[in-house]
Amino acid sequence: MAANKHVVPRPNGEWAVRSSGAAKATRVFESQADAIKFGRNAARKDGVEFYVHRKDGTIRQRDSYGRDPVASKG
Amino acid sequence: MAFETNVFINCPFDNDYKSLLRPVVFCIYRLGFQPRIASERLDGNEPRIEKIIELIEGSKYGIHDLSRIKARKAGELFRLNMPLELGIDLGCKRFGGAPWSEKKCLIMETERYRYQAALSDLSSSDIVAHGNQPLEAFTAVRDWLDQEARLDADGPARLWDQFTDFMADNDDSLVARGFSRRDIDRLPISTLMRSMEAWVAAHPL
Repeated sequence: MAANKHVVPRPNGEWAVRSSGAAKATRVFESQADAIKFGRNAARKDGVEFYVHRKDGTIRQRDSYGRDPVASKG
Repeated sequence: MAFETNVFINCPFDNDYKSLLRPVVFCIYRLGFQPRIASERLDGNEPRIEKIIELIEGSKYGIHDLSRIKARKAGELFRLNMPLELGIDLGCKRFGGAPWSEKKCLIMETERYRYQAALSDLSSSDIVAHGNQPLEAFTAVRDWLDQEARLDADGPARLWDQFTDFMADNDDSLVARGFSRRDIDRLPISTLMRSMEAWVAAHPL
């Protein structure tokens, strides 16, 4: 089963897209908007949960692309 | 609890500071230590200063964040609890004898030299500036514990990513139990600490 995707803060204002439990980021972006776009596409493709974290690590937004029929966006 | 692994955290406990406190507490747990904070025990009958002294006596390590001592608007008093508790910790190390002479302190501030105007006696001390950035505070604590306890810990980025994994897992669990986004953001730090401790135990390095 594919791992959930996260958009997480990095030093110097950068944002990374990473999978749950991964040792390294999939890709690092200069803007959060670009990271969200890339991460959301990856989550949609894999049918997994997508988390956008704030700068302090808390969850700003969570969208479900899982195959659970009761899963909802938002 | 073991003196050698206890880390006393001297900081404000308002909602505004939680953005720094959450990652700092997680970092301490992840590196195998036990964070100790005054609000971990809610006993209204116990004098607060007695609780603070007990925590300081029981902790080899102390993190003192002076970033919130400044009044935010004209007429507001500045906050003296943090400098007082730092003074007690330094006194314990200086006058307590063994094992307290082995105590280690990390002093954090927002800006590198701002404290010198208010606390010039500390001007030769090593103070880390976190700029109110959660990731900077997390990295400062990781680097300090790694050095003082000779841990050879994983890098800050990897540990930070584990923190975000925890936050997502905890979010899932709380949402499933009927917590709203607002409830989750306002979760008491003592509740969050129990969840962090359980997550770290379930995800060994």
